Amino acid sequence: MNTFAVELWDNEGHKCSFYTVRQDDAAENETDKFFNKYDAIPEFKNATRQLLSFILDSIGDDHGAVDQLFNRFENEVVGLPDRGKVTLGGIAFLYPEFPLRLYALRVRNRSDIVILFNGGVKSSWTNQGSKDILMKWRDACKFAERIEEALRNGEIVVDESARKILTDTGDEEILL
Amino acid sequence: MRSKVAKRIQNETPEDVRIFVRQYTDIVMRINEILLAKGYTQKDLAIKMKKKPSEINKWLKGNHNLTLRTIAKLEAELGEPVIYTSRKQLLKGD
Repeated sequence: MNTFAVELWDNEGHKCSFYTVRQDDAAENETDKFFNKYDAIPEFKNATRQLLSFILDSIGDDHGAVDQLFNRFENEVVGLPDRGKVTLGGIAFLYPEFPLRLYALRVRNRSDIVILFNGGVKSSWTNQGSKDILMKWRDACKFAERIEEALRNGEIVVDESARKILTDTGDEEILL
Repeated sequence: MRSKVAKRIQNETPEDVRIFVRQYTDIVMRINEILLAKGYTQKDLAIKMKKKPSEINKWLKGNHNLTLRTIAKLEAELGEPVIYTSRKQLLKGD
């Protein structure tokens, strides 16, 4: 995997800050690519807006990245929106047939710092069967593995009071 | 700081879409909280409501519009309010 930057995407919510990743030499970060792409497709415009509201309003502002909203585990990453099942009894609730997935990682399993990646259209039960999503999901897993590794070996650290990710030297510019 | 792309899409999003998403998430969180606090499962709830679990499941699916009547039935069985409304009177403008 090539070098990539971890950069701030949104820190205006009361409960959670969001980071994203930018591939080496890319003009746009991965999360902006996702939202720009699907917002421009009429069929997915409403879903794109709902997903953005779910991220910025419900997670960012109202609840944070709590377990109930971060429950669609897909290997190293979590698919958003949530699976829509309450914990007890497995009640299918919120978005059982939502067409889009955006991949994300909770930093150190915290509810206040999330890294967002790219995503796509979920067209079949499995990611392997969803042509549009497979590469994005694999990339997201690779980004997440590298970020987890950097957290483990201390290349990057979490500034808990400021809800920030920093390099080991306290720099906000993170290249992995 | 907010991504310019996110800001643009958010500004173009009709207010009702944002209200819907926020309210729906709040309801999920609230029902979850009540079920956890009371130790209920979907099956328990179905027994209490004398319904088939599949019927409860259907009610609570996002693609089946959750009506005020459904919420009222849930509130009655759970014995806790799921949504709150303010009874404060609106002030008349000058």
